[in-house]
Amino acid sequence: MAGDLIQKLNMTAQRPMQIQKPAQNQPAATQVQTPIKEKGLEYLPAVTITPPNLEPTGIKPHSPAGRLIKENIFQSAVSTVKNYGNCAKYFYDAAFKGEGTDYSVGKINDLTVRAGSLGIAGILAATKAFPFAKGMEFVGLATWFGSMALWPRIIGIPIKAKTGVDINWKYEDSYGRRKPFLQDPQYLAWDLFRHIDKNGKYNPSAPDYEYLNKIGDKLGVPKNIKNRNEAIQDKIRQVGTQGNTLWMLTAGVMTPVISSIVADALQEPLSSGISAIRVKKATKRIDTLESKLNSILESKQPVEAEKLAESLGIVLDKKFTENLNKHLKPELSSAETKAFNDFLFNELGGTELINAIQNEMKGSTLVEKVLRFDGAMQDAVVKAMDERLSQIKASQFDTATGFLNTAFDKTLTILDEKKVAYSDETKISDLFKNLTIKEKQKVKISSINSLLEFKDKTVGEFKKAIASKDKKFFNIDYIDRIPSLTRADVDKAVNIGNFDNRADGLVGFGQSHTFGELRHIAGERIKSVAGDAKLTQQDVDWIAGQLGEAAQNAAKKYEVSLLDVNRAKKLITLAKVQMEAEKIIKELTKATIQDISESLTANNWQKVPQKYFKAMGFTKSEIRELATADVSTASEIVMRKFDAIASNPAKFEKVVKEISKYAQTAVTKEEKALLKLVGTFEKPGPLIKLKDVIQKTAASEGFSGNINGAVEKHFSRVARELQSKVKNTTNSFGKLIKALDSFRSIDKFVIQELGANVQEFEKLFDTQRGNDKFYTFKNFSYEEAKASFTKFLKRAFIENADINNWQTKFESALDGNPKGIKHSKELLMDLNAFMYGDLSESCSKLLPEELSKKISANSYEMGFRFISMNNKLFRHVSGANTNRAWGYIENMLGKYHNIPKMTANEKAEFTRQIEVVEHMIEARKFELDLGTINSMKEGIKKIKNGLVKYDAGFNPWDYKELFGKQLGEVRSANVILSEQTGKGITELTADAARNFRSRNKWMKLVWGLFGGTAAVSALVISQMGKKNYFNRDIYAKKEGLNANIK
Amino acid sequence: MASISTVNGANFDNNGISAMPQNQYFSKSASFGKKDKKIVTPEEYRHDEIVGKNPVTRFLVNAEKTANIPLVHFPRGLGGAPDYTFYEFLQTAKFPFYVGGPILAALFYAGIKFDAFKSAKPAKKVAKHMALGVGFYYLGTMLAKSLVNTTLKLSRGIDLNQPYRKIIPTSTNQTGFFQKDIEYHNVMESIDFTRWDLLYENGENTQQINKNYNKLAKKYGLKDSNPNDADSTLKPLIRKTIAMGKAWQYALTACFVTLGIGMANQKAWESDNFGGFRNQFDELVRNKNLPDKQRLKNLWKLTEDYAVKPFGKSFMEFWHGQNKVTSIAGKATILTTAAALVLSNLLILTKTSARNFNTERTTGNKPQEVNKK
Repeated sequence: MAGDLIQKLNMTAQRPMQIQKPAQNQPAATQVQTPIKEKGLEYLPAVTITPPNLEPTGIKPHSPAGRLIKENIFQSAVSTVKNYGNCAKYFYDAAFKGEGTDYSVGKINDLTVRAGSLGIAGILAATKAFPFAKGMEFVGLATWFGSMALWPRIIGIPIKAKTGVDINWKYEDSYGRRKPFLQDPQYLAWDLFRHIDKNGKYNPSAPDYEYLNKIGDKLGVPKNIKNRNEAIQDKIRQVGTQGNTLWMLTAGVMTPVISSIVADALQEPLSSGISAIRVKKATKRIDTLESKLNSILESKQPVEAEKLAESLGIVLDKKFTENLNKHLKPELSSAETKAFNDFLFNELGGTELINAIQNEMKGSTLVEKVLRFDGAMQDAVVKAMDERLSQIKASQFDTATGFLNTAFDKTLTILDEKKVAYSDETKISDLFKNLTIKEKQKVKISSINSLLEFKDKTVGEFKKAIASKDKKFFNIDYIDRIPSLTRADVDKAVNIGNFDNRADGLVGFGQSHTFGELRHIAGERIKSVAGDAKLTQQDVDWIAGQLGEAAQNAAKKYEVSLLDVNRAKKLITLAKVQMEAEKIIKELTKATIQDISESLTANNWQKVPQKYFKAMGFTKSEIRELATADVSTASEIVMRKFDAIASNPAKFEKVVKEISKYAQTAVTKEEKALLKLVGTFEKPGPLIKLKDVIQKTAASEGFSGNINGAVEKHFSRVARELQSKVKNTTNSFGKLIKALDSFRSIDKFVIQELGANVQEFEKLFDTQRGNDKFYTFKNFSYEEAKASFTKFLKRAFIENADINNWQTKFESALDGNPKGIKHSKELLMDLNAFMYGDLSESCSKLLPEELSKKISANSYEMGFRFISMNNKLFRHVSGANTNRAWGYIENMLGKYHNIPKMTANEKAEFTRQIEVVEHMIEARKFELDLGTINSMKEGIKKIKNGLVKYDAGFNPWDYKELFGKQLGEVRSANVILSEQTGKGITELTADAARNFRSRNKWMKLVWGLFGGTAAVSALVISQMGKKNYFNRDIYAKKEGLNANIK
Repeated sequence: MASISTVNGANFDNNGISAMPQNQYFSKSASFGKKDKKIVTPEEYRHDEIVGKNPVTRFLVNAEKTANIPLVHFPRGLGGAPDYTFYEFLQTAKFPFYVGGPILAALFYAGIKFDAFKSAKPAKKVAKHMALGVGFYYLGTMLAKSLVNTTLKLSRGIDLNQPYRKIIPTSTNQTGFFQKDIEYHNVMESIDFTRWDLLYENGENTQQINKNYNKLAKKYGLKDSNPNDADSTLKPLIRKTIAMGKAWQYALTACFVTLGIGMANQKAWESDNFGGFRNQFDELVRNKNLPDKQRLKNLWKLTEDYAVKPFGKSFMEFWHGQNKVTSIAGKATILTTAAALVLSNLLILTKTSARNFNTERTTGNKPQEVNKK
């Protein structure tokens, strides 16, 4: 750069400070800078500034202390921390004192970027304690900052490999400021390289710039040129600029891409880890809770609601307790009552408990709208009635005479118009003599009749009476005589009305009776002062009603609610404790079964179908087809695959084994959680125990069965939901195995139903003419019937077997036969048995025993539910009460008496049947009441015992009613079937395909961006340091004394 | 290499580089993108000058700066132009800053479909939060910078963003096609090398020359200042102002960005999806059957429902948190931001004030004639 420097010196020396003149006019510059032309190689010779042998005199400057930084990862970490320490100091100096340099203030930005990202990360991490989705976001952010720092290192590697230049070189200047070496291409501290030897180490004894020379060789700078050092430096600068620009060009794409890739790769291990932590944490809390529940249940002491929270180790929300105490007052105004009810709703709303509690409190714990007739209130009532009476007195004349006066005026106007003469002496009765009917109607007949009450008075008298408001004239002077009601009157009314025997107030009927009495008293008073006034009952009622209304309105302001504070506190606290305890239990639920987005289940659902998919051996083109196909095409593809697998025993074995492995994991995990939460009959889990504790407390506190029932119902629902979810998973996975298994025997089943050949088929029809199967296949040839029925069965297996589909299929699934299958009860039964029967023996053998049992049992249960459900199908199947469940039990009951004669094999088969029934009862444990279940279990136990020790005196038919009716009744009640059905096979597979494909697409996008950017980077890197438009690489050959020195 | 090219007035034809244009002083002016290489007289570009004093020219300057990133700086940088400067590097650094965030959000969004199973919904939520977070990130950065800058502008008359046009001497600007003769820097961008000279005016006497400094002196509350010499009193104060302003800009950026991300992650933004917004927008705003006034009203209503209200709600949600940790985190962030905001203004106002300065009157207030050559 020395040559460069000279030019600058020359220029600045000859140019004034302001650039006022065009540079061309500077002869000196032209003079010095004449380029040398020699054999095509041109390079400007450097001119030494100072003669080499001239020693500087005077005060020596400090020797420079700058250095290149070479650090390993630990040293770099230490210096980073140190650096941040400096940054904090820089910040303090700048922000509080306003001291700083460009460097120090610039460094603050580094600190704040880190602090900001730390803040962001902290916020994201805290927003929800480690749930799945948020966790992902957190990883994304962490990887973002990671890859931001990483990318320049990555591109630095090939650049260094190709050119020897490291764009990440850093140096520390004499003031200890750290900077990237190549950051400012106009200011490069080349001196720092003077003593760096060819190995990149600091070595003062090595030839100057040895390292740079080595880089120069790599960069292909000709050796035999003038000022090679300078040429090399220019080249390095070129590479540095190119590298930095490439970094900036690609960082915007590469940072998000790398962070996406890393986040994606971390997703699985991290989410599994997070799930495991959550499950562990939740389990631990539940265990603590359970031990506390146990000790409460074991103790014989009654449980106090208010102490329950403490004994369960639950801390009730402070705000809740504060609010509760604030709202609990023995006497609540109507506003306070509303606030109290709102509070209840806010705290307990959305639970089954709120209604029960409100019912429980109604009328006993919380008595609303109570009126207490104490002094102040009675005074207010008296005052209100008095005021109303005054109002009536003041306005009554106008009210009573208004209409008369109008009619009177109207009449006079009409007479004036007709020019009929009248005078003040004219009697009122004479006024109407000259009016036609029409004119009378105009005045209003009823008003005329009222006016005729004064027929003996003259017009003048009437006018005078109106003008002077003469009440006597109109017979309403009694109004002025109506006396006000007194405290004594109110007392009398209250005492008559007090039906409630409540010294402290009146409610409901008592209130209305009191006000009725007040009205009555008022009425009596009015009548007593009526004198000779013609008083109608209507008039009396109206005035008395007005007074009564005034009294009621005045009283209403004194309405209060009476609250049994202790009992209310107990009720509400108990409900709150239940909610809080449930929250603890639900943490595990969320982590394992329920909340699909953030649980183990979610992971299973995401991963397992993918694995299924692989196990079944779908090809890439099939995946593509499946992913984009509609339902019917998709089911065709799946059907083809199933056929292929079913027809090849070796393949079948492999696929089933593979699938069962994944199914086992998924099902076991969920069942384990269910077992942990709900438990079994013999060993109930914390959820049931919590229910028991709440019920025990309710009983100790003497709450009604109302509360007990609500609690029972609530927990049943929670448990049922959990169970449905687990069944859903089991069915989703089990169905696949069951379908594969059944595909192998569809042909056999079809032949069994339709006969082995045309003759048998026809014979079937001949012998069973009138049979419903006959109608189902009426217009089919044997081949057609076979094909159609086979296809129907396959689709029934493969497509979504939920309620709707089943209904539709049974209606019209066979093409060409509008009557469908539903008309054949026999066919339906067989079909149900086939579809929802046990796994075949050969298939069961391939599965773990437990899973095989589970799948069989579940499959059986679904069959039981489907065939007996209350749908259209049901109506068409006569005698449908003989459902399969009952059939099973009947079979079992009937067989009991044969036990002594049974062979071992028969006994085993019998045991199996009993176990199925047991499973059914177990499955329905939340739908039946406890008594029924216990009786059933008792019956089963006895039948089972009979296998070991036969009891001739035991009559199993005693249980017929119980099993037949009860099980039958609940078969469809309380269960949302679609919650349990599981995913249809086609849906499962197509979803997996779509999942697979869009994931591939995403991968392609991300990796495509990665590849594209990497390619651009590679291309740019390949051109780095090369001669180009900006860097023409024109060198001058070495000459003079040193020409031959290399 | 660099040496030969830096020669002023060198005849490039002699070097066999005929393609090299020779004009040193050509204008690209504000009409960016158009390469009218009009040769202007040296007098026109005699010196660096402050530009963009009004919003329109400021916008044009920014637009030109932005356009130059892909049109000038990247090509020059990729070619490794010898006269490439640190300024250009900083300009290119804006590219990843503005491109990276949206790409990350877009990639996350593209990833949703592969989750199509059951987690698509939460994934979409995360994507939405992420996109919002990215938006708020940029918003926070801008807000922090402009808040401090506004304080400085109003209280001290210092605009940290005031650009000036820097003439790049031809000696370092000859590399051909993507040459560069102008850089837009900010007058106050450097604490060490503040461009004091740009604040002087041409004038007959000291007070005319010091016109800008005298204006600033008033803003700084410099009572009793010597109008002939206000600049020397002010310069250290302005340096202080720049250091403080920048430090607080950075600090507030961290605060606001954290606040923004925190708010973007609240439930308030989940209440509706963009589909609902789009439908309503089509029906209520783009619907030409409605009167314009009604449409404007609807637009505001929609903005209120989809932006203003969730914004306020998210703030409150962030403050309250969902549990103890988040409640503390939210409150801490909000309080820190508020405190930083107050503190920054307070410090800037008190520490850069010259109200308590006692300036010595050396030459009195009489304008001093400047010796003219």
